[in-house]
Amino acid sequence: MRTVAAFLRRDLLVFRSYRLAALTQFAGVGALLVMAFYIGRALGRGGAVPGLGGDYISYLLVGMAFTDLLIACLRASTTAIRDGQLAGTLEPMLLTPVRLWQLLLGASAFRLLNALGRLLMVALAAVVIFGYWHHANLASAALILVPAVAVFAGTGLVAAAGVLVVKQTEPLLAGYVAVSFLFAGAVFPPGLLPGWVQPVVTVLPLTHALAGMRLAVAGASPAAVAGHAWILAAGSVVTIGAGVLALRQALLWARREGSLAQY
Amino acid sequence: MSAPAVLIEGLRKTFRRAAGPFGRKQDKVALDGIDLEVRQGEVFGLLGPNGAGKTTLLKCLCGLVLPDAGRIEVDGRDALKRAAEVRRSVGMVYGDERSFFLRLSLLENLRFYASLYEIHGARADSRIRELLKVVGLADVVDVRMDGFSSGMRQRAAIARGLLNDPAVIFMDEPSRTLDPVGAEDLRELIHDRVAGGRRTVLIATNLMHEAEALCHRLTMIDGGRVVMTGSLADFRGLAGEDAVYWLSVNGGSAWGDGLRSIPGVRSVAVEPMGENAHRIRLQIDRQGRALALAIRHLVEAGAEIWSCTQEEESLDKVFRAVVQRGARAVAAGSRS
Repeated sequence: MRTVAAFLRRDLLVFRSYRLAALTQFAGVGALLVMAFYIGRALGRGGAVPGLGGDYISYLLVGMAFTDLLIACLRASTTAIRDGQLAGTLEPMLLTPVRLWQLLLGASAFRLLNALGRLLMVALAAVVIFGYWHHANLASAALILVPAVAVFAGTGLVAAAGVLVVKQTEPLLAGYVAVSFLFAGAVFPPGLLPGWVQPVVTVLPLTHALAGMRLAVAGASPAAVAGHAWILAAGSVVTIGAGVLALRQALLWARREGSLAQY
Repeated sequence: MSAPAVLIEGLRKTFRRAAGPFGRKQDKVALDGIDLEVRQGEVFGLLGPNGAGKTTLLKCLCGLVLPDAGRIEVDGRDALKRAAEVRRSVGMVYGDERSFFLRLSLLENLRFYASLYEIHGARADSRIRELLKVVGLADVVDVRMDGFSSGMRQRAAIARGLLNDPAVIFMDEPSRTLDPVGAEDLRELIHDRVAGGRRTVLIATNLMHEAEALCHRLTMIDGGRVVMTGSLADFRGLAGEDAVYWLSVNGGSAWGDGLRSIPGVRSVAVEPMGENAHRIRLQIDRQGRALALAIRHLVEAGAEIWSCTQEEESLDKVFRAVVQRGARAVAAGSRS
């Protein structure tokens, strides 16, 4: 825990040193809320969007805020390794007794907390400003959030292993993020998409994370979200297992190739 | 006799590298059966030209690169099987200026790295302040590192390498990015404050004079092979029979022919340096008394000697001499 705390402290100090970037991040959350407000005014409260089954603004806020958090989980490990390679700090860190998994956990922690902070800001605004989510079931939300974070973090480990081997996995990650964002229901119901896209929609973890979370914020019981939670939990077992194996092999490969510090 | 600080046997490493994005992969032998023994408490130089395999060897020692074959023991532990334990007892100083979080202060950087060695809180701060006094950075402890010069970063790297009070410290061309004055200061720091006691220092360099200033013994490697291991005297002895001295003199007269007639003087070249001042290049037999006789002759001829310096033996010259003589081992070699 003290190692993770050291990483958190380091990343907080770095974050604070980039004041404009820190401000921009808060501005991004503000922009989302302003956009939601005016879309809400344009549509009128309870605006009828086919296949939505509820208010569009609430739908949009869940989609944007949770996608942001889960994408942060996805990118945390790859960013940790890539930043270390580019800054030349990866090798000095690996020369200490710290293990790679500790390094990744520590270096990801601030990014995840930061994304969680943005999510909480949106949630607070949703409750206080927009008057949504008053009946949210927090147990159901947690039942979705935990495996959703795990499945994306696990996928991130696979991508991090890729960074150790091929250095650049950003195009693949960007493609995955784009497909997830478009097809999983971040900003519009995936049911509107053509039938041939639906198999893709079904296998995307983000689809189940967002669907489950929308049920949770509407007050659904844990039993009602269990289907999505099970799918996410199964996905997390697969991705974390694959991620740990891939990372171990990638580290071994990089040490054999002498390419740990290359970028 | 105590166990060696570092023991290397039959170390081999071959990299497969492509000649371009679509080029065929070719084998590049980085280490070709290295055997080496570094004694506890000594400063040991790993000397060789660029691409000789020095950095690969150091990275193998601290577990960043896995060798194809061979055995490594560091501080009495098998470095390949017990890598995590070995990392606790070694330090590494890079010649690379990067490797710090430049947006953070020196103290914040060292606190972070200390925590990775499980040194926390007041214990970490006390250790850091003690080390910063050693490396002469105590007055910039709160300064952000992006404002540091190369020399300051290198001193900071030494402080970081010493955080865990390592029994063995590896240094990879620590003065690579420094100007001559900074490099000299750094060598003094290593000589006076890092080496000594029971700590063993293994320093990779391609600078003969750096090795000469710091090391008790040296190994020269090239093409991944040990070309020679020995003391400084062993290396100097192979550099050639002649030594070259440069003397700056003022005044005196008719000393040129007298210099040439001194036994052991191979050649004399004189360059004017202004009114009545000269610069003399004196090539002499290093074994004899030629230098002393030449100085006496100049003084007796009325010349005032301003300076007398020995011309640096270049690494290339020593290296060529070593290879030509086929000397793979000399007295006081790695196994003695």
